[in-house]
Amino acid sequence: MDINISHFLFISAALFAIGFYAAIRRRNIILVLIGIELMVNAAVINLVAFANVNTKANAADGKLMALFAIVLSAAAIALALAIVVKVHQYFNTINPDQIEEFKN
Amino acid sequence: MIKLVFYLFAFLAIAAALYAVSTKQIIRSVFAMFACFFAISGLLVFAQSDFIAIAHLMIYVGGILVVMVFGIMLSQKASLSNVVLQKKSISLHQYLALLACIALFVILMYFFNLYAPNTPIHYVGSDIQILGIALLTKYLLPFELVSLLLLAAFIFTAMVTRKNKI
Repeated sequence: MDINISHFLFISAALFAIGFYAAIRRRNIILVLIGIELMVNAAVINLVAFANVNTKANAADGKLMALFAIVLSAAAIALALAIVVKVHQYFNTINPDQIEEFKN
Repeated sequence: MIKLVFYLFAFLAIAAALYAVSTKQIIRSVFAMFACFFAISGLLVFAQSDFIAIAHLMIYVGGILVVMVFGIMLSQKASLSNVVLQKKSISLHQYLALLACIALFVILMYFFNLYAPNTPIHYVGSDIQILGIALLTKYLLPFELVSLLLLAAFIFTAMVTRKNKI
């Protein structure tokens, strides 16, 4: 079993690029959120993979950073979906190209 | 054998992510993300962090994606099977996005090949004891702060989505 760290780096680079594509393509707010989640997941994979480099001294650092990143993205996604629901009540659409004005 | 399972998870993650960003129906992309997050959680097991994998599975598959399905249901007028993304024609914007995505991937792989250590990962045992001790000693303050932040975020979410003003 010789799975290198570079395998994980390849997967995380691919996931980050796919998430970036979904985020800048901007067809729908939900898809933008999915892209952001993919990018966060790529970062989590990187953090957990690099936690294996120096095992004894600071074994928990990278993994706990990944855990905090997961928790923060959960909070962010809950807030973003609440805002999506409010935007839909106000504009009747969640396509970012059709939301053009912000008035009170 | 174990490498085969690893490559299966890797293929599943990337293929499901590609399908999720390229399909026409939003609900299909969310269900593809179920497969993608499941595969990513399996990959985290291979990076020998069992606890993070379980937490990832519970938070993403059990929490975030279910909330996303609710968000789609609340924000689409048509029934779920008819939610089709508009603007089917391939525009310049899409080509530019694809180009930027590929360029980002190439740049990331270049720097990873340049600087990444080629360390093989050996299994050393479960990490739950190390994580628990570190969470209650070295990382006690971030742990408490992140729990406060979660509480504040969920109170704010409930406040934003309620119908009548306080």
